[in-house]
Amino acid sequence: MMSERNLPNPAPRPPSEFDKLCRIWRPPRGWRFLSAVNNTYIGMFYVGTALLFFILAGILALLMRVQLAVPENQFLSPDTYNQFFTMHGTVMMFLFAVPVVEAVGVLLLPNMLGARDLPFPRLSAYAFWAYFVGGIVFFCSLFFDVAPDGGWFLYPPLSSIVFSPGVNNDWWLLGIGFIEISAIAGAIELIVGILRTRAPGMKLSEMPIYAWAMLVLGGMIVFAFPAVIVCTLLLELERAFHWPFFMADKGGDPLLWQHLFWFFGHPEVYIIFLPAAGMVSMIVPAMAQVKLIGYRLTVLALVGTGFLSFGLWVHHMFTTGIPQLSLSFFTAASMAVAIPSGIQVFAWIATFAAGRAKMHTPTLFLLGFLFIFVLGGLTGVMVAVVPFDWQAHDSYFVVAHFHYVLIGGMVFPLFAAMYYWIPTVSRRALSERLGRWVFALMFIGFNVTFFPMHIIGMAGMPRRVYTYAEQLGWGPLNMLSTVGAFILAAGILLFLIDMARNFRPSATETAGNVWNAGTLEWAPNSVYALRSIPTVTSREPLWDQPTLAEELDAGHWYLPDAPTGKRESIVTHPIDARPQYIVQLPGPAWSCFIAALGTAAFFLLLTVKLVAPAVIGGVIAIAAIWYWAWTTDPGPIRLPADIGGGITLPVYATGPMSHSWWAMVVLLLVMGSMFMSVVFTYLFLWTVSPDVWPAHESLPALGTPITAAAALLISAACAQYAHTRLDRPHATRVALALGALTLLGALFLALSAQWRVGLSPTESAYGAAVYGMLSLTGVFIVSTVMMQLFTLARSCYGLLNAERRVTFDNTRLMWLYTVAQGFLTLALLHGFPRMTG
Amino acid sequence: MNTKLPFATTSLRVGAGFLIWAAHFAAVYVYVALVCARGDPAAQWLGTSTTRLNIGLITLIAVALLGYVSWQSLRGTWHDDMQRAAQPFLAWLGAAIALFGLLAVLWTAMPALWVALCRPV
Repeated sequence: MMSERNLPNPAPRPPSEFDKLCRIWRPPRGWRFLSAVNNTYIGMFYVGTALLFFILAGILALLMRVQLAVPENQFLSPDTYNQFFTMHGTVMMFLFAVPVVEAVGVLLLPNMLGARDLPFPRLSAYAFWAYFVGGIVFFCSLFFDVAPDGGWFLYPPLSSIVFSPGVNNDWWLLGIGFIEISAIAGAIELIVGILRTRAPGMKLSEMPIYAWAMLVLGGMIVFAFPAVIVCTLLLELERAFHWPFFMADKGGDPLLWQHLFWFFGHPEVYIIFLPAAGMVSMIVPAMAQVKLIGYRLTVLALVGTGFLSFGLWVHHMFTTGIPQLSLSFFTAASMAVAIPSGIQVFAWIATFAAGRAKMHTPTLFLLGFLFIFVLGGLTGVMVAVVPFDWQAHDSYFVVAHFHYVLIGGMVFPLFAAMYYWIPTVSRRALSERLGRWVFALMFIGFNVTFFPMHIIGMAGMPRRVYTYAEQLGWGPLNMLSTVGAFILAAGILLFLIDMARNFRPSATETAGNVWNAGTLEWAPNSVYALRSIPTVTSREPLWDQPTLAEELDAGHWYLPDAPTGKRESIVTHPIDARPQYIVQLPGPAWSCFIAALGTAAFFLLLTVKLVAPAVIGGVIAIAAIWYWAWTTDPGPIRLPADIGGGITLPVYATGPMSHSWWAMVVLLLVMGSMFMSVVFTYLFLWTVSPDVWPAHESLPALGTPITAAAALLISAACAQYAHTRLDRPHATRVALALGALTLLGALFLALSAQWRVGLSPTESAYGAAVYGMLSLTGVFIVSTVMMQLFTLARSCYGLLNAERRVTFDNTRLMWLYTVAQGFLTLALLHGFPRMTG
Repeated sequence: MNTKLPFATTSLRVGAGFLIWAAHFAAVYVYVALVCARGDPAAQWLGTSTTRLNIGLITLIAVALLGYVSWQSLRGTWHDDMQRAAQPFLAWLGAAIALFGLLAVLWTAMPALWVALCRPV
């Protein structure tokens, strides 16, 4: 029975409206399905692919366990074993763990937030296909015996060209660096989606806790991943062109890699854990049928973990000779981060205690998670203590610790999540009976596999050895671990059987709210997500408004139709979720698919030194992205749209209100983080190798850099001039062209200043650092020039004016950022050596 | 009634506690690294290690800033506009983060009281 309260659209909706909505959101059929961009389909592709990599990496683990089951085994050769453990770690971390947490977000968040889709569906599709193709090709390197073999963190000097002359590690550097770009694209999508496409009224305080976790995740990716992209680029520059960033004899330092890698690598652990914690905070209340206890403290814990996780990276480097007091700062931070994790654990226990937890399969996985994760956390506190870490470092104790943290902290919650949320995307729920067996096998198998490793590690067995001598006495416990691994694998196999029997993916007919959960993803939905979008007044709207699901499905809330005839969603204020405008969302397209294939081809072909085909791939990618971007700025061509309840909203927004402005700002934060990583590189190398830094007289004279700075200034003035003269096309075009020329001129001058004094990037770490910084700024300048040319082309075609200006706004943001980075680059390269010399 | 909260300034206010913690952490870490690599770790002033005194000074500045932010948050002065905009949650979160940041700064800096400075390990 529907309530009598005021609804925005109380009258029955005409049937034609529903048909129109379905037609607009219908996915392409047959082989054209590959061009689908809707979050439901891309989300399912994404989760499926991540699970495929989980299984593939798991098979590698089983083969390693067979090798280690008995002493002095010859099942795998040392070289093959090296490739297997490297690929196991790499694939699990980069191709399974990070993608799957983003994938679940892509799949669930729009429905949970009351949006029709994420704000950039084609970006999601691009990120997915780049990851899919790149990941598959990367994995196939194993079959040709050229897979990476330097461990998942690929430390130089082992991974340098001197000690690893094959292409194995190039696969890692180019393959993983490129897949991280896909992860960043996903993070931008999620951040803007969470902040700008929440249902009206869903203030930050009413936002589902999972969305908070994903927001923190997005922020962490923005600041952490650029460090790994930069260090992979630096090592590839060293391997390919002999720029000695990590070569000690030329002033480089292998520790630079460790700093950059772990500045990414430790937050990475929380990038994996926090979304899982967010899932747990959603599932526990549904299983206990009571609201989450300590919502505010849990948000505080998520944000706190996100920040503190950036102060932990050196705890992976306790044995590298870093000053003792510095280590102590990291020990303190490593212990401090246990507190927010503890807050969440207590919140979950309290919620279970406050309700009546039903022992469904998700509950079992959650209890398993609590047990395993707490054990992993405790050993984490142990290895945060420096003297203990000296004993345990690089032993199987550490292997046991991080598997307890990662499998306990992420895989068990993920399985809970799959058993919990599959009814939202499948006609049938998974089997409770099989689910219990899956849990039992995985829980027992996991503990039998990994608990003995604590003991083996304390007995002295180092990680990454392909075999061991019988007299060391490690055989029985290793055999036990191997037996456990197969029990764990049996659990996962049973899960696959359950999936085959019961998972029937569908966006239109789903099993429904089988757990009586309270959040919006459980409301009736289809390809268009919710039929109508509610005003949200609490964190569990389906519990607090018992008739809401029925009202939503009947189209009585906002935007029950498609007033512009296109796919749409409501964009709201990031804090209080006031409706601001209607965004027209792009539909199926091949451009993002082709761009992803081109991007993958560029990076992967470079790996095997096929430069010409790689360039062709890059050109195809750029052309496809241009074509894709050409259609994304429709302009204010329509009248404001009526969404019901007397609310009309504009269908176009520019400047800071526009969602694309927000995406651009997040991208600039990524670029700023990359620049900071390069600045760190420069300053770190100066700290360790002052002898390769030049004397005053060897530095370029100041005339050229000052001219370069003047060129940057003129370019910035062009940006501001065009900003105020978009109503005059000719003036706009002149400003864009002059802005591009002056940027390129500044780059040329900055490079020539160094080159003319005879500085070479190969002669010393100083030269490498200087040209490394100039290269990064150069890449950004070239990207900006391409955007300027794109904007110029739109102006020539009459697609740019004072009202239709989103393209220009984005270009201007990038333009001004690049100018600012250019100034900083010049100041550092010419000012710092003079100050310190 | 002002119900419009600018996102960027609101985020900075709410997250100020952790941002100050991050700035303090980076400052003390970089400072110790520079002293040990390029400076004079044995330098003393009034019989006390200059390095430790400087760490103390950096920590004092961070604590003063965090104390100010915590005090303002608890008084609600800073967050009055948040309260008016019906966002008491953000006001609470800002205060909690500031207090958390204060504890984290004190905890992180504590080893400077007794742990050896640059001894290679």
